[in-house]
Amino acid sequence: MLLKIAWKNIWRNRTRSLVLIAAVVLGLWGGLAMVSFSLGMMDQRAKDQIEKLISHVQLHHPDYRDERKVELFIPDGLQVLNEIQQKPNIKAATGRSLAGGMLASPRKSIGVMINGVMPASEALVTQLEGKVIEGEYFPEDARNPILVSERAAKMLKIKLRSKITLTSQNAEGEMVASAFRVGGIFKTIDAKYDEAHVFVQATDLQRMLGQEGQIHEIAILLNSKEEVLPVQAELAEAFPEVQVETWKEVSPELSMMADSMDQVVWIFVGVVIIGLFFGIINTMLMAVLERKEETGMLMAVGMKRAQVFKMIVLESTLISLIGVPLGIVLTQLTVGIMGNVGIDMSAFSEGLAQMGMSSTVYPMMEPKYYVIVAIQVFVVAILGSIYPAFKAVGFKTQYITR
Amino acid sequence: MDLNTETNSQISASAPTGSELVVQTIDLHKIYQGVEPVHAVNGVNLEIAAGEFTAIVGPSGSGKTTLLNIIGGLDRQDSGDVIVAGASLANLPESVLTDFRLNNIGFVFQAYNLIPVLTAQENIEFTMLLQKRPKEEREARSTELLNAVGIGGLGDKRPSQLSGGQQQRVAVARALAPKPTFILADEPTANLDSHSTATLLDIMLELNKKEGMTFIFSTHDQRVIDRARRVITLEDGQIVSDERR
Ligand SMILES: Nc1ncnc2c1ncn2[C@@H]1O[C@H](COP(=O)(O)OP(=O)(O)OP(=O)(O)O)[C@@H](O)[C@H]1O
Ligand SMILES: [Mg+2]
Repeated sequence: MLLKIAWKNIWRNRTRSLVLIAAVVLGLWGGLAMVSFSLGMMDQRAKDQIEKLISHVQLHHPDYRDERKVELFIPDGLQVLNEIQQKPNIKAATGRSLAGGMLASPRKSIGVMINGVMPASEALVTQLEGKVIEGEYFPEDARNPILVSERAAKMLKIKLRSKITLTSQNAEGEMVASAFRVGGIFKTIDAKYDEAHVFVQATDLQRMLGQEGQIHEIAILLNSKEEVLPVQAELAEAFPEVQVETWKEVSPELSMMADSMDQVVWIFVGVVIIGLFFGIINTMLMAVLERKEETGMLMAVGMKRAQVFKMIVLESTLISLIGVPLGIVLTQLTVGIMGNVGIDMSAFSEGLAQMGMSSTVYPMMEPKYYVIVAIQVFVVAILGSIYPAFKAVGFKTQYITR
Repeated sequence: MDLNTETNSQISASAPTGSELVVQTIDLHKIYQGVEPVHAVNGVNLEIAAGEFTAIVGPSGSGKTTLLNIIGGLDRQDSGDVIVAGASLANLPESVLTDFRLNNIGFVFQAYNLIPVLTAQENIEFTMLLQKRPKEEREARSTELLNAVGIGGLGDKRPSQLSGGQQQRVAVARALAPKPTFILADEPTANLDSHSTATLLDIMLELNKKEGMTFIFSTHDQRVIDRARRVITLEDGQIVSDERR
């Protein structure tokens, strides 16, 4: 019966209730839109990182990722790579020799990660070849070619065909250096990444380090993200002396990024929810104050305070029961459309590039966020009616007689 | 402070000895605090027996509403006692008092009697719902009461679709529904035209005669006063006359 009266009370002031329902719908939609936007952004960054650099699965010497020492190469790395490349469930695999070092022009030098890549198979695993915007991607006849990023080139004031020097340390801890010639200039959407990476041929780096045929990393591209875990398990069993990691494990920055992005989103969602909270308090308070005499009458003829309280809370609960599904449907529609069309963020592309994001965002959604935000809206609807409900039960029964 | 200077002129409104008392007040006082305290009820001794049809009259501000509120358990006195249907209301906690009102007192107010979103019949059933009466009983009794107050065909109308007189008849039916000991009405006809007033009075008197329902109501309306069977007059919170007809 309380439910029936509460339901009917909602429709006493149709406009006001519709406005409140609209607020719930828009609040939910706004919150979820932000979640889907950031999910889309993160997913894209993950995809981008996977394609550009991490790939789906990586193999290293078990200690390599902690210590990053050049002597920690994969035992029989080329052999392992060869075996992996034969596997049918693997799309592509490549090996890399890696070393930290300095990139020096006559004027200036910067610290970089030197990636010694196998040009042919690297091109299959990452899109490095496609990121070359000037010059060529490791032409056959070039001697000691190096790919530097546009940013690094600018910082060092070098251009195509400039000679530069790479310096590093070999396994014995001795300084080693080699001259390279800029064969190509690349640019990814991730400015930070660009600054810190250069690419040379694996064989050239190995010669410089004095460890021919040794690779530190095997990067594997699969047909889809879903195959990551089974393939990881399979490889870990096949190569017990090698550490097999997925892209999530390889790039904690990626998940950290997602976390901090998440926090920003939740702050926005929080603001929306708090706005909704005060909207509900305000509306319910108005509704309750309008019914002062009536509420006095209800209590006079025998309705208990607890029942009046319940009735008011039920009213805002019902409103959110109407609003929440509508908000979810609206979000689903929006994400469905915008997820295909994409949102053009080119106005902010500089800033996004700093964070390693591309300029078109395709919003996406995960069901758990619907649940989380819907619950928040519900809780807020109930909490927002508590003060008005207290107000209502505080009305004196004698209001009815004055 | 000499609020009791008129005590000599005040009378006790007693019921005939041996009759069953529905309401009894003993030296009842209510003072509204304020810049100038108002002694709204000033030592009222009152007895009302079962089956009486009593009008409380008096000039505006004489304390009628205050007295009815205290008798009805809607407000509390400062001193003295109220005994309703054998129970002293003074010491009942709020929640018990609410149940007491539900089961013992039928209320008819001047306005805001009905729940606007419910139909007439649902309004009548409302108090029975609070009493957790079964559905069949509620339906049967609300139908019977609609007929008793002469609006049998209007059960599915909302209050806004009824005239003021019809609304007050629904209110009387609603007050009767939980089978109270008596009905308390504060100026039930104040918003009604003379025709509706007469009809409502007819119905109340009929219920009083046929079912022995006790009515206590306040009024300003001489035509209503003329039809009361007992008239208690208040002035400045004191009973100045008690007249049976
Ligand atoms: N809540 C209150 N606070 C302060 N004074 C009050 C309050 N309620 C009533 N009074 C005062 O108490 C006195 C009695 O008021 P009450 O409403 O009982 O009179 P009444 O006989 O019902 O008058 P009316 O015929 O106008 O309805 C009046 O002087 C009134 O101003
Ligand atoms: Mg009054």
